This record gives sequence, C-alpha cells and structure tokens, in this order.
Amino acid sequence: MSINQFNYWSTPIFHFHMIWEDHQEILAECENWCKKNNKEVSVMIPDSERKNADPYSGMSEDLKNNPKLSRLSKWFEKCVYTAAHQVNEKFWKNLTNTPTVSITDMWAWSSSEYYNHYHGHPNSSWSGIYYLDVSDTHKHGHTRFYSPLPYNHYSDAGTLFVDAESNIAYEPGDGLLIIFPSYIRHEGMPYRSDKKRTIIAFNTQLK
Amino acid sequence: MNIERLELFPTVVWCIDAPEQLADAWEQPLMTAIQSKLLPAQLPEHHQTDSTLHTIPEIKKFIDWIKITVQSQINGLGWQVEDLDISGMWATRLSSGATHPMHNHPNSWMSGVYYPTQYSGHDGELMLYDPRPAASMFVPNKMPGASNRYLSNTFSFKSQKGRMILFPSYLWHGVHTIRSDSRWSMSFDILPKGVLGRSGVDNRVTL
Repeated sequence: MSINQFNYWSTPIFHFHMIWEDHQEILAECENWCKKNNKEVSVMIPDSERKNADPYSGMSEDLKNNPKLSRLSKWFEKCVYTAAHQVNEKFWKNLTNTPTVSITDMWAWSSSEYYNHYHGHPNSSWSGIYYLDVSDTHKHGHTRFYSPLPYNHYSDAGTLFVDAESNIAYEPGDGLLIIFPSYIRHEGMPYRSDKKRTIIAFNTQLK
Repeated sequence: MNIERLELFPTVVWCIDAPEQLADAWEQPLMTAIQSKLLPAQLPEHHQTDSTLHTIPEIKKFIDWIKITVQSQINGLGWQVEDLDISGMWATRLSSGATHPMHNHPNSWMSGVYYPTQYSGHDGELMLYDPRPAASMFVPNKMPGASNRYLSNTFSFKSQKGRMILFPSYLWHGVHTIRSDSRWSMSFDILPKGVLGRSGVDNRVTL
C-alpha cells in the first residue's frame, strides 16, 4: 500500500518588516491625513449615531498621492511584486509582459477606538496593512484573517483541521507589513485605549 | 420589448417582534432559566450558558412560540417539514468592549436570535454578511446616496426586547462591538424533524 497526501488550496500571506528612518514624519503625516479625511473617529459607534460623515465612505484625497509617502508606497508596490512573483513565477513565464504593481487606493486609520467588522477588498488583486504605530495592540485590536474556504461543511471530529484554521490573527508590531490576496476577508478586532493606533491599508492591481 | 427581472437564490431573513405583553411575561422566566445554566466565563466580557435552555419546562410556552412561528414561516416558503427540532439553545451576555466575530452554525438548518431583555445601548447590532463569496470579486461605485439590499454586502439589526431574528444557518453573522453595560441574547439552532428526501430519488435521512 502507498499513501500520497496532497495539500491543495493553500493561501499565501507574506510578512515584511521595515521601520524607516523618517518613521515619525510618516506617522505624523498619516495622523494629519486621518484628521482631514474622517479616519480618526470611533468606528465602534453605530452608523445611526455618528455625527460626522461615514468614515467608510470615499476619501476626499487618496493617500497614495501624498508626496511625503511616495517612497513608502513604492516600497509597498515592491513588496506586493515580491509576493505575487513568488507564487506566480511559473505562470508569469507565459506572459508577454512582466506585470507591474500599481496601488489603486491607499488610506490610513488613526484612532483610539477602532473596530472594522468582517469585510473584503473588491476590485483588488493583493492588499496590504502596514502597522505604523500599534500602540496597545498587543492587548487587543489584532487583525483577524478568515479562511477563504466556504464554511459550509458538515462539521464533526473529522473536520477539526478545517475548523482550527477558520481564522487566524497575528500580533502586529510597529513596521510590520502584511500582504495578502484581496479575496481574504478580515476583521479589525476591537481596540480601545488612551493611545491612538495608526495603520495604513492599500489595494493593488497588477497589469 | 419584454424584460423579466429574476431575483434568484435569495437569502430569506425574518425579523419577528413578539407581542409586547408576551415579551414582558417571558422576560423573568427566561432570565431565571438563563441564570440556572450559566457557565463559568471564558472572558470577562463574554458569559454564556450551556446549550440546553430549550429543555427547561418553565419556558416551554416560549419554546412553543418559537417553533410555531418558525414552522409557519418555513411552510410559507413551500418547504414540507413535518415538525421542527430545536437542537440547541444558549444565551450569551456580551459586556462593554465585546464583539462576536463572524461565524455560522454548521450542522443546522435554521438559526435564530431572541433578545429577552432591553439593552441600554444602541450598538451591538447583529451583523449579517453576504453568503456569496464570489459576489465581492468586482464591485462598482454606488450612486451618491444609494443604499439598498442590492448594493449591500452587510445588513445589521439592532437588538430589541422581544425581537427574534431568524435566518438560514449557513448565513455568516456576528455582533458589532458592545459599548454599554451588557447585552443578553438567546441563540438557537433548528433542524427539520422526520423523514427528509424522497425514497429512491434523494438521499433519504430521518432526523
């Protein structure tokens, strides 16, 4: 008898890490942008009680166009290329042109009270979250990623290996960049502190 | 020109408010039943009972109301179901800072939530998520101010004493962050009882 086990349908998630020498300036720029773009309000408050505009609505200015963050956004694109190339290398050989990565939209959140319920990023190939200042996130406020397998199976002791990976959460740290396929749904778990937690998120397309 | 718009594969969700006098009459017996089945708290902000609340004789009238109400709605859709079995019922108290991440209920057909008491806050909504993973591949922009069920991938219900939300068990759901004192809810799973499937045609099973 021979047994072969095949493990298909894996999902690649990449971690990069970088603290730039102008980290504080980047942080200040993002906090300033959040103030102007309604991305520092509490998102634990229900929509009906929010006095300001919906923080989930479109941004008046896209962070990707901010000249002070151009080096950072180029690095994001480079990291996405690295990730996408690693998992697509054998397929890209058949393409006439090597794909290039473009950030389609980029935004930040800077809030002392934060929760972003289960969601995905449509119209995007790869997405990223860069943790600028995780503040007290080691206590709470992790990003939770959900399995892309449709949770539609009969469940018993034989499916515990699926159930155990229904979601995963990484403990973020300042300078961590998580790159993941945009079809992966995720959730920013509740964060409440005296200190603000600041992150940058973005979507990309490859053409 | 003939245009026929088909609304296929809908997910039916019921929001059923019990008559006020019934909700008032049930409140005390339900809370007594809940207290009798409380388990040690796993997290300070998350208390839960075991899943046998439906077996407590003192709340039989409430259980019967659920079964009769659900049966009538299911029959209204055209399902031929001989009887219903509540396979589990449990209560949860979420306190300030808590949330209940996205999940669904495997091995169940219909699920529901009932709110036995009035919650003081306006948050802690029950969040229902689009069960169609492929529907988020590509999403156009919405017209300014447009908001309707065709454009949304999330729907929320506020908790209200006497309110029951009933939905298919496959539907992904969760609870948005609680900011006030505490919120009680009772959840349950329902299976059709009797013989399922037609002899010689479908997989036949007796529950």
